Parts: sequence; C-alpha cells; structure tokens
Amino acid sequence: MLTTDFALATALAYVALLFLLAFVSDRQSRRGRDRLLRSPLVYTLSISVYCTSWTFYGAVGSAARNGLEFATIYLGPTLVFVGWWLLLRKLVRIGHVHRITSIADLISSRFGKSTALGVLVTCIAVIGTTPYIALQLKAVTSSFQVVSSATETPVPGIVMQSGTDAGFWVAVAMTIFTILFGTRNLDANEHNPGVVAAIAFEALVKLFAILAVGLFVVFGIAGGIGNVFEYAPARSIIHDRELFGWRWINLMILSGIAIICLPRQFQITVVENSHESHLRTAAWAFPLYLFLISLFVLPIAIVGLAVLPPGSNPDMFLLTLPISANQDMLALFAFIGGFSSATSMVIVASIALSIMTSNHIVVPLALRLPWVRLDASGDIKRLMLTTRRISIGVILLLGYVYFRLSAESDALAAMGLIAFVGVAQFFPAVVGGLYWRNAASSGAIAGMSAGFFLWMYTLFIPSLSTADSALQALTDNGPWGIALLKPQAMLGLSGFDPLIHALFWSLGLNAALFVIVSVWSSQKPLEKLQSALFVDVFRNVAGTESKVIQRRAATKDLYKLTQRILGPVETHKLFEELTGGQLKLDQLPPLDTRYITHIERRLAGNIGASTARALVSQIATGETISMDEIIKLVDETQQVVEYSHRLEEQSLELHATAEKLRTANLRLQELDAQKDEFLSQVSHEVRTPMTSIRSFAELLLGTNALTAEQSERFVRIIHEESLRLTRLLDEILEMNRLEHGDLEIGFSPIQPEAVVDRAIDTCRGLAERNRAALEDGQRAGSATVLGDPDRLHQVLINLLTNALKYNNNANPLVRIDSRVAGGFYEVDVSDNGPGIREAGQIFEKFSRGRESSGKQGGTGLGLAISRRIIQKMQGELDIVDNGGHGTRFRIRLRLAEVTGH
Amino acid sequence: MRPEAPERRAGIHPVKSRPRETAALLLCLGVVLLFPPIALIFDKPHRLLGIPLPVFYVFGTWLLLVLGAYAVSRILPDTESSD
Repeated sequence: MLTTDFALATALAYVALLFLLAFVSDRQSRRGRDRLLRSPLVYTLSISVYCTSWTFYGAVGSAARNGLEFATIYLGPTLVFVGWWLLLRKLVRIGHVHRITSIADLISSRFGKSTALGVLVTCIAVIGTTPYIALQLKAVTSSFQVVSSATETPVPGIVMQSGTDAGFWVAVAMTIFTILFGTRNLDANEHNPGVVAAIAFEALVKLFAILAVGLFVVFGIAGGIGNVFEYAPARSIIHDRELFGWRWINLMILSGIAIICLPRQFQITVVENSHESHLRTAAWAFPLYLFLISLFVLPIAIVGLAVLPPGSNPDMFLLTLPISANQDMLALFAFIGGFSSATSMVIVASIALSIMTSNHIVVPLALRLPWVRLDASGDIKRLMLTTRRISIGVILLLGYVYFRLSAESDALAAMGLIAFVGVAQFFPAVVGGLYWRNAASSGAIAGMSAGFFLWMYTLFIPSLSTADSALQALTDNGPWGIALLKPQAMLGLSGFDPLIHALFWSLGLNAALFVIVSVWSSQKPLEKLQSALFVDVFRNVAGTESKVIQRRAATKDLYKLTQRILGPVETHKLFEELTGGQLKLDQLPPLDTRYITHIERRLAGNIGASTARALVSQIATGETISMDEIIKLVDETQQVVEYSHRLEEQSLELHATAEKLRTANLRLQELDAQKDEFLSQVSHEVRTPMTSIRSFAELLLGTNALTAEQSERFVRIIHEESLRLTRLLDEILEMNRLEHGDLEIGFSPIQPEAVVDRAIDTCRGLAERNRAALEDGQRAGSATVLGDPDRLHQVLINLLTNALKYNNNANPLVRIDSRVAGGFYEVDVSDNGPGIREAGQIFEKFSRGRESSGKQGGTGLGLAISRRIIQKMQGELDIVDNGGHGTRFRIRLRLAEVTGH
Repeated sequence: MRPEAPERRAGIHPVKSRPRETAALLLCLGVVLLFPPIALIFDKPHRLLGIPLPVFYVFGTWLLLVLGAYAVSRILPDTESSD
C-alpha cells in the first residue's frame, strides 16, 4: 500500500539523487571528464525541458477534453527541429559567435546592444514565466494530494499541515539546487554541467514514467491497443469535434514559436549548446522524444475516462489510473516522473530568468547609481552572482506566491498556453533580426510593447478574472462598458477561441508595428553593424566589427575593467593570451581596436552585450563607427554578385581568346600544309626537266654511235629544259619575293592602253605560229591608272600566251577588249578555248587549266604571280563569265585621279 | 567522424550542395501533411489496425518526419564549414 510518507520519502530521495548527480557531474566536468555531458544525446535530452508537468499531466487532461489536439503542442516543435538548418542553426551560430547569454541578450545585442530592449524582454519573460512556475508548483502539490488522498493513513510532517505546502518545499529545494549548481560561473560559454546532467536525467525519468504507465494502461487495463479505441469515450473525444481546424493550426504555430522563444528553451538550445553539430542529432532525436512521450497520452485519456468514476480530474489520470488498479509502485513512478518534469522546468527557467534580470536590469541599474561602488577586482562578478542567486530565490518566491493566490481558481490550468502567447511576442524581433537587415530597434520596441500590452489585456487579465470581480466585469463588459474594447472580443471580433483571438491581435499588431516602424525609422550605426553581423553570421567571420569600430583604450584601464567582471585569475589569463605572454601593463601601448572588440565580446558573454558595451565605452576614447566599413560589410552580398559577374566576363573573354587561338592554329596548320604541298610541287616541277636533262646527258655520254644530228637535237632539248628550269626557278623566286613584299612594284600614273598595245604586238608572233587570230576588240581609248607598266605588260603577256598556247579550237581566237567603267579601267582577255573547269583554283600555285601535257611547258606559277602583281597595284584579276565557252580573264584597275600632276 | 564521410564528399551530392532547400523541403512536407486541408482528408471515422484514422495519420506522419530528419541530418554537410 502506497503511503504518503513513502511518496514523500521517495520525492526527497529523488531530490537528493539530483543533488548527488549534479555534484558528481560538476566534479567530473572540472576534472575534464565531461565527454558524456557534452554529447549530443545529453543535449537532446536537456532540450526536453520543454515537456513540463503541464505536459506530463496536462497533456492527458487536454487529450481527455479535446482529443488529438494535445499533439499540436509537440508537432510545432517537431517541425521547427526538422527544419533546424533554417533557423536553429543560425540561432546557435549567433549564440556562439556573439556569446549570447539569453534571449533578452540576443534581441538587445541584435538591435544595437539596446538596453531598453533588454529590459523589455526581461520584463515580458518574467511576467510570462512566473505563472508557469506557479503551474509547476501546483502540479507537484496536486500530485501529492492525489497520492495522499489515496491512502487512509494520516500523513505526518509538512505535507500533513497543509497539502498545498508541498509546493513551498519544492520551491525551496529547487532554489537551493539552482543556486548551488546553476550559478557556478558567469560566462555563458562555460556551461553548468551539474544542471545539464540533472535535466538530462530527469528527461529520461519522465519519459520512462509515462511510457510505463502507458504500457500498463494499454496492455494491463485495456488489453491491447485495439481495445483502447473500443471504449465509448474514444469516439466522442476523437471524432465528435472539429479536429484540423483553426485551433489546430494556431496551436501548432504557437508551439513552434514557443520552442524558439521560451526563455528556458533558449537557455538550453542556444546558450548551453556546446557544439553546433549537436543540433544535427537533436534534429531527429528531439522529435523522436516528443513522439514517444505523446504516444500513450491519448490511450491513457480514453481509458481514464472510461474506467475511472465520472468527475475524476483528467489531469491526474496518470496517477489515478495506476492507483485504481492497485499498482502503487507504478503510481509512485508516475509521481516521480511528474515531479521531475516540474523540477527540471523550474530549474532551467529560474536560471534563464536570473541571468536576464541580473544582466539587463540589476547591473545596468547598479552601474548608474552614484553611490554603488564597483571598482575593486571581481566586484561586478560578485554582484552578478549575488544578483543571480537572489533572483532565483525571488522568481521562485513569486511563482509560489502566484500559486497560492490563484490556487483556488482553475486559472493555472490554462497558464501553459497563455505563457506561450506571452513569449511569442519575441518572435517577430528574433526572426526579423536574424533575416531582415533593416529591422530596427524602434520597430522591435514598438511591436513588442504593443504585443505585450495586448497579450496582458486580451489573455492574461481575463485568465485572472475568475478570482476577482472587478476583472470579471472588465472581461465581460469591457472598460467603462465599452463593448468594442472587450478583452476577448476586440473591435467586436467575437466567436473565436480566446486564445486564437489573443494570439491574432497581439502577434498581429506586434509584427505589423515591428515592420512598419522599422521601415520608417533609420538605424543607428551600431545597430547597422550588429544587423550585418547577425544576418550574415555565416559569412562574416568573428572580429569583423573591429574594422568598423575604431577606438582606443589604455591597457591598464581595460585590465582593471576586465578584472572587475572576470576576477583576477581569468583576467590575467585573457590578457596573457592577448599580449602573447608579455604582460607588462605599464609598458604596453594602448590596445588596438581588435583587442578591445575581443575583450568586449568576452565580457558580453558574462554580463550581456549592452552592459559590456556601456562599460567598455566608459574607458575607450575616440570611438568612431565607420559607415563606409559598415556599408562594405552590408554590401558584401553585392560584392559577391559583382565578383561572380566579373569572373563570368573573364571566362567569356578567355573563351573568345581560345576561339581566336584555335582559328589561328587552324590557319597555321593550313599554311603548313600549303608549304608542304608547295615544296612537293616545286620538287615535282624541278624533277621533270631535271630528269629529261639527265637522261639526255647520259645518252650523250654513254652512246658513241650518235649521229651529229641526234647529238644536236639532244643538246637542244637539254638547253630548252635548262631554260625551262631556270624560268621555273626565276618564277618561284619572283613569287617568293612578291609574297614577302620584297619585289618593288612601281606605283605611278601610267597609260594602260599603250601597255596593252605593246603586249598585243609582242604576242603577234606567237599567234601566227599557233595559227590563231589575235583580235583587237573594243578599246577604251585613253585612261590613266596607278601602277607599273612593265609589270602590267608581264601580266598581259602571261594572259595572252596562256590564251594562245592552250587554245585547242580548230580556229583559235583571242580577243582583247578594254573599257572605263565606274572609276575602274578594265581589260578583258578572252578566248574560244576549252575553258577552265575549276575557275576558283586557277590562281593557286602550280595549278593548271587542264592536265599539263608537258608540251606547253607552263610552270603553273604564271597566273598566281599575275594576280599578286595586279593586287599589288590595288587591282583585281579574275575570271569572268564568257557566255559558256572559252575563258575570259579580266584585269580591273582603279583609275588614277586626274590632277595637274 | 563517420567513416563514410570522405566518399560522400567526393562527388557533388545534390542534397549536400543544396542543404537549405533540402531542409526546407522536409519542413514544407511536414507543414503540408499536418495542416488542413490535406490533414482533413484523414479526419474520417474509419479505423486502421484498430486505431482511428486521424490518430494513425498524425502519428504516422510524425514518425515519417522523424525518419526524414534522421536521413537528412546524415547527408547534410558539416555545419561548421558552410552556409
């Protein structure tokens, strides 16, 4: 039989175990054996501080009232963790880089290290969290009452005097625990291993407790999962209500926001995070934890409703079900589970709030009071630690007082969600601050104040109304009876769930004001800098701001200041690091900007960014914030874009160059091939006469029986072939000189008609020998062109001889015409010969009109040379259409401008 | 360190090179599945394996998301080095 004594003893033993665990972990950690404590698993488990006793007991109650809706409280965080890469990773990175100490510090630091924002966030957090702590105390007390009312034996000791006092003693025990293990050091980056170990342990206890009760209920009482849903209440709580409606959507969003904004969650997820990679594990392990802890909630609620007598408190089904089945040990385990979920929340929440109150309210205030002297070494550190310890006590006392005041009403039951909406007011500032450069502190202050006021008015005050008739009247009728201002039906917007109504108005106005005021106001330089550092935390390496903020400070002053906050030992270590081990305060030059920034950040990890800045600014002189540098920092994105643009251009240029090179290379290869071809053609051309010369010479040498006539013929052939060879070599030389520009071509006004006449005269003999008619056709009469008369003559002779020599017509005819047309002087040499099949190639070297019979003895260079000559005279030599038979060459020369010359 | 990490890093893994999109995709999947109107499809008085359909659906999706987050967390690049 379970007795209250036994339950109480177990609870005490459990608390003692927590103390022991925290103590051992703390010692192990100080000896450097904290690998397990700094593992991703422990990190994940400690995040489950999200599951408070409100979750533990209340989820079953919620399921009994609203069915599946309870799951939204866990699905929202699941989604946030599943999408960890987008938000949580950035949050944790910023937490590490900027040594963030709390969510108030995050918001204050982001918006220009604003003191006002720090105070505002702290106030909202305290007001939102105190009732939540009260809720935990109430849950513990209620569970005690359930356990003790289940026994007949009178309860001795503290609980006996007044059932509700269990809450008091829990508060006292948790205060002691938190002060002992939660305020070991100031630095945000030096974690509280004792607390983390205790929280992780409690996470396991509550999970196993709820799983144990769940398994017992499903398989021990109901006899299988299928049977659970056969109970009558199953149908009514699952199907007889709107499931995926407005409340479903809103609660999911709200809980997703809460997992980011709840001070205790921020403390565990961001501040106590020892390594960013732990998020990788938490991303799936924490949703899995939530899944497991929710798995049996609905079955327990259904079975509780079905089995227990009507009117039983569904919030306590976890205890009353095992008790009704006489499973005392199981009930005790469930009780410890609920106890652990309450205590873990109380511990972490009070630590988070104490850091916020000391950093953002007490110390800034103390520093401003003229009679408070904090000049000695470690003074501020002592003040901070004392403040935090007192804050923890005060916060828990406030929670207890709140709990006692509202114990009679059922106001606390709804407190969980009300607190969610309260802390959700941080959300616009947090998300805007992380992703929106222009989010300004004035916007954050305006939005958050308005949101907070509306939250108080539409949700918090009505929740207290059952305890106070004046508040009741306000809630029912509106202030001064103005119905439009009724807290739960603002501007007549009624018919909504009060929670959704409040969420809409507070968060909506908050976000709207935040955006509008931010857009309409300008950021101060420091704010701009912080904005750039936060929004681009993944790109701007730590210490970038030292480029922006220029200031000087005497090393001695900085040392003193640091000593006041960190104490002598830490300070000595820090300065030795900074000065490279040569710590001589009086001889050091003033520390430069980089070190000052480093020290300020280090101090911020202890006392918050805004206080650290205020203190450093007192001793630093000549502070300037360079707008140019800020703009550079902000414009880095732009720079990256430009840089990539430049790269793109360069690559295009390279591409074009490569293309040109490729073309040039092809051209070279072509020329190389042409050269090879030319050489082989030259060899071939030289070979033919050489062969005949050699063979005839051999004949002459080797044969004695030659007649004089034969000898003479052979010698003549040798002579002719030699001439041909010489001519060929001459032409090759000439071609070469033409191509290399060595051959001088005259460029003076000449009378081409006279040259044509001379050429005709020269060729008459050849024409007669070939029995061809050389016809002088229509002539221009007179014209003046620029050129070289001898070279033009050479070209004409070449054309005429070709026309005469290769004409195999029965009545060969060669005709010359000339005319002046369109500023040009043209000479046509036409024949009635066989024509040229490949007109395009005839001007190539060694190209001949048809297969050379050898008889005509052309070198194949004549036309190529002719064309080069005419080109040198800036004219053209082409083949033109001759009406289908024969060939017509045309020389086209530009007329010289007729001047007095 | 996981032993398979270097091999995975060798090629350009589509998921690795687009971590933001991959994470957002899973999140969007969760939002679409758990919010109306998709969720409304499963708000029917049927039972599956003895469990009411909406309960089965919500918890099934939940488990799916956990598995998805596990898979994605293993292929996303190191957080320390990239954006």
